Amino acid sequence: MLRIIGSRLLQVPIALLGMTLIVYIFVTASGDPVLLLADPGASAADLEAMRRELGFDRPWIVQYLSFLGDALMGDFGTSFRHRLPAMEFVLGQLPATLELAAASLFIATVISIPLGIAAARHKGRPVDLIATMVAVLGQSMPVFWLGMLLILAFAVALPIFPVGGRGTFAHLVLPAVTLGWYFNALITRMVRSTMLETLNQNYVRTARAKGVPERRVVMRHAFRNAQVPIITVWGLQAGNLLTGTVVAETVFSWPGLGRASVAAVLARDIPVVMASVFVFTVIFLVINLLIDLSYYLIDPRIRQ
Amino acid sequence: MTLHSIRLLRTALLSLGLAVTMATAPVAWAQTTVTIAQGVDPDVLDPGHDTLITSVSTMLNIYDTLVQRTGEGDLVPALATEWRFPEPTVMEIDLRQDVTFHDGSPFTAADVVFTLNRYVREENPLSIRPQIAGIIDSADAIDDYTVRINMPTPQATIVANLARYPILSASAFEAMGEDAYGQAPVGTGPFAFAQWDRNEQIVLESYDDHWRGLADIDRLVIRPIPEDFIRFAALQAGEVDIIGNIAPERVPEVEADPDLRVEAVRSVRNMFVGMNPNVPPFDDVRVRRAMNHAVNVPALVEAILGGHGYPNASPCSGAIFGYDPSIEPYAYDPEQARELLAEAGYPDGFTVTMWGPNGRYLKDREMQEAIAGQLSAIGVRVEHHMPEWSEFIQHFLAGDIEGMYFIGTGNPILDCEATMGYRFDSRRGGDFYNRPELDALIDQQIQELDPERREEIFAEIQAMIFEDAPWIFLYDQEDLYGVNNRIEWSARSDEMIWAYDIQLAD
Amino acid sequence: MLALLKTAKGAIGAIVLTVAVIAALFADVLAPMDPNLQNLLARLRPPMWRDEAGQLYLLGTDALGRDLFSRLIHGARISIMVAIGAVLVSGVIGTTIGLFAGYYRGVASALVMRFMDIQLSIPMILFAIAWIAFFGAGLVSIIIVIAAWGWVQYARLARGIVLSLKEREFVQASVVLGARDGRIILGHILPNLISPMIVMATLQLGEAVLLESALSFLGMGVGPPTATWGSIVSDGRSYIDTAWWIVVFPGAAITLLVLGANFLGDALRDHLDPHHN
Repeated sequence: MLRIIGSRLLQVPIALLGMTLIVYIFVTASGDPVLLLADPGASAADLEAMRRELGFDRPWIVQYLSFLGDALMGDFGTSFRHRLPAMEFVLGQLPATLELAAASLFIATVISIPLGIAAARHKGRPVDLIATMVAVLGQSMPVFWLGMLLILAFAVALPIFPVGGRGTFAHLVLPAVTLGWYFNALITRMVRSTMLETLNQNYVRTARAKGVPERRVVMRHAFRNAQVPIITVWGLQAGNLLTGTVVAETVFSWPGLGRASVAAVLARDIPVVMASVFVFTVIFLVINLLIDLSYYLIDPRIRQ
Repeated sequence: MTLHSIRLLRTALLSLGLAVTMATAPVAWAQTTVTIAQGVDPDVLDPGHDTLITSVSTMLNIYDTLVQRTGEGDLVPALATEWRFPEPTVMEIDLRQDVTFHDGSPFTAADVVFTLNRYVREENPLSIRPQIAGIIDSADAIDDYTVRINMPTPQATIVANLARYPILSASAFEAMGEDAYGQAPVGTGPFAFAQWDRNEQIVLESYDDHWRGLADIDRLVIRPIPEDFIRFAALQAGEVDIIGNIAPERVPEVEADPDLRVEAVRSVRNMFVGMNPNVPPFDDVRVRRAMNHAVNVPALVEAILGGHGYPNASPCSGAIFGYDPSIEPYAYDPEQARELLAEAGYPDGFTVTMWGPNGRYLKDREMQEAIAGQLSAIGVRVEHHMPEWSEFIQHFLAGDIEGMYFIGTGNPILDCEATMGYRFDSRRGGDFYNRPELDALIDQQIQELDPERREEIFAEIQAMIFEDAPWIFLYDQEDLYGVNNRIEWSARSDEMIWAYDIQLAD
Repeated sequence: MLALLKTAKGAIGAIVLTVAVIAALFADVLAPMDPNLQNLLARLRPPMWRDEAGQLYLLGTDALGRDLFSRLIHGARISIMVAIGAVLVSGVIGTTIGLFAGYYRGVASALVMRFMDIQLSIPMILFAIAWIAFFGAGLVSIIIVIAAWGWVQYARLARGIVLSLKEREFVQASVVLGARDGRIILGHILPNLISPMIVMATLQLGEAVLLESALSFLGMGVGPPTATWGSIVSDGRSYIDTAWWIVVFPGAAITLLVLGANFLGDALRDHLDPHHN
């Protein structure tokens, strides 16, 4: 157990180092941020002076090491555009994204688990067919398209929900459903297949033969075994979730970190890009760690 | 994990979601709150750093300038009450005496001197420096309420330019430090800064002791909504009261809605396709003229902008001083265009790149594609580069464009001199253009203090530019605002929304 | 192989992919009109519209009066090329790396495993956008980005299979008999990898299409005037309430293609490994 945690924790600095280095190289090599920050009509001398002030006249490796040094102290520098400490800005954008991600995972889980169980229990019957179709469709639809279809259906044709932005609970619904749909599809299929597997196992048949109520059979025996794959899926999909978040935030004008970090890359706002990369990587690693821990807690066999 | 614990987890997540939503919900909607939706959130509320037109519009509600531009285009005294020119390059300004900053401290000459010298400083230059360098050299205080401004040469546009420099509080700036000041600015304007949730909203409260008197509205909220469709939906839903840059195809919809109206005004913003005259094939004036003949501007304006644009063959927008209405655009004549190309040695046309932003100007993407479509009819094959604004402007400012570029020119002083400085004066940047004869005329016009004579010089300038055809001349935008009928407000051609003018309709 | 086509999934998948490839290859012939031909007087026309000359616009026109159907057919080109290109690149590289990581245990292999774990904890979308900002948004650039995203799957699978194969008797026998590594790999290991890799590749095809269209939608795809399905949807955003067809049809095309790829992959997997679950 400690080995697992230890190994995961060791990954943290390596991943961060690698990722920040790569992104740093790209972002600095692909364009001169000073040109973006300066007013059109700035003279060459003005640009040079700005470059000096922001430290761009140093060789990039020096810049990177200096960035690293500060980052280790928790200082990611000041956003070039916003004149705000980069980490403060990033953390300010984060709650919106977490809200969206949490809501979408919640929706996905709440729908998919019962649906998957029902599909498994009534295999071959209409419930199963519909659930499977919906799941398959959900995995094949591009996130942005689904979002726009939902807007068309439930914000334009039937003006039930707002078309975008963030504010009330109603604003959260469509983006969360959009983002959650892919995972809903995935988890439904996963639940269904693991349930099918376990429902056919001998010990389940035994329990039934012993007269245990069907519900208990399903819940206590079958479902327990579905947990590991489900949690695995959650973990593996963290990356997909981020991509989906960027897209969903764009479609719905949701003011979160996904959108803000993409904007920062395009504007070569290096401190914010670095801070975003750091935050996202840490989140991924935390998720992976939690997944590992939960395996350990759920399945005693892994403890060995 | 039992079913019970799953249920707990779900409840926890739901509560978390709700709590987060409520904690970050925008400020409650009060009766005299007016909400404006713009395309982008400002970077920072410091005019020294953020010069984007939408940010400036927001900041002019928080700060005052020495001289103010009214909605009708006149220049009236604001923080300055009187001025005189004891010498051609020196301006003396008397300042208003009953003015306080939002933090209660008094406004004095020290603030003006601090602000102007900061904007123009050479060390660690600010983004605003190009807008003041060459116009003002320095400022000093003669006494607490008199300021002297030193100019390098006599400036015909000095008063108009003074309307561009928001005045900062020297004491607050020193006390807070530059970065903090940009997050929570202190000014003398009709609205004081209250709150800024990045990418969500800026909240300003009307300032009780504003020298003009209390504004009609209590609170001003500015929300950045980049997506044009969502901005529009917010207007329809009554979530915002004013939106700018509505798409032309939405105009009938807005007009049909009894609660909404459209405010349209000829913008200072002039759109064009520039051609780099230093690189073939655009080094030949015949080719440049051919391009002008190949593009049917009125058709473009009609089809893509729904008629909401003003074809204009002058770089000076029709809404600004210096514009010469007598210039006739190049006729749409693809035949002649092909002839000119053949004459210049391109009978089969050529391939060329066109750079332009995507999503910065109204219908910019479609305009570029449509223009390329029209050019293909004379054999000119266009390769598009349409990155996002930040990437485009970087290429552009680096001079990294060998073919054509689609861009627009704003004008904060409503005087074509600004356009000259941005686009044609080779010593101040002037895109890729370098014509000493034109530079000479530009110098003349800057220093000519007689407006009539200035107009004559501008006529010469525009004739020269038209002949030389460095651009495919396109059109002036028509700025379209969607406004909720519960407020009274008229659109301005300088792209500013000054909330002091907003009143609630009775 | 033909047994595959007898299943519903296999048949549908095969048909969809064939149609897409044909559309991509013969777009110029199949499209009724030039996809870049603008008609400013015929903007935003609904599906099944005919102009005065009687020309039918099956799926309507876009904001510049271009025929949406023709643009969709040409858009298939990019989707197919990127998807196949990315899958090939990531498949070959991933399989090779996984193969060697599985066959030769040791420090290098462990490092590769660590690296894969780490890449999985990296926000790939940011990497992709940074790359495209650096290298520009050309066809090759995007293929590289998507390949970089997906190679880990192949590597993991290959390694897992190789590890289990190594324990099998026939491989052990070869080792005992003194066969050289190269022979073992080529003769025993590789043949057993092909089927699973093909299944994986087919399943990854759908992923690649989704990723390409997402990047396209965000403005990071191949640029105008080339029509990609993702960029057509992106262009159609502001017209979502006035010209819904610009958003709906390209997205449907993407969904169909991904569905087809997924079906085919599932059918392949069932066929080649019926005990899979």
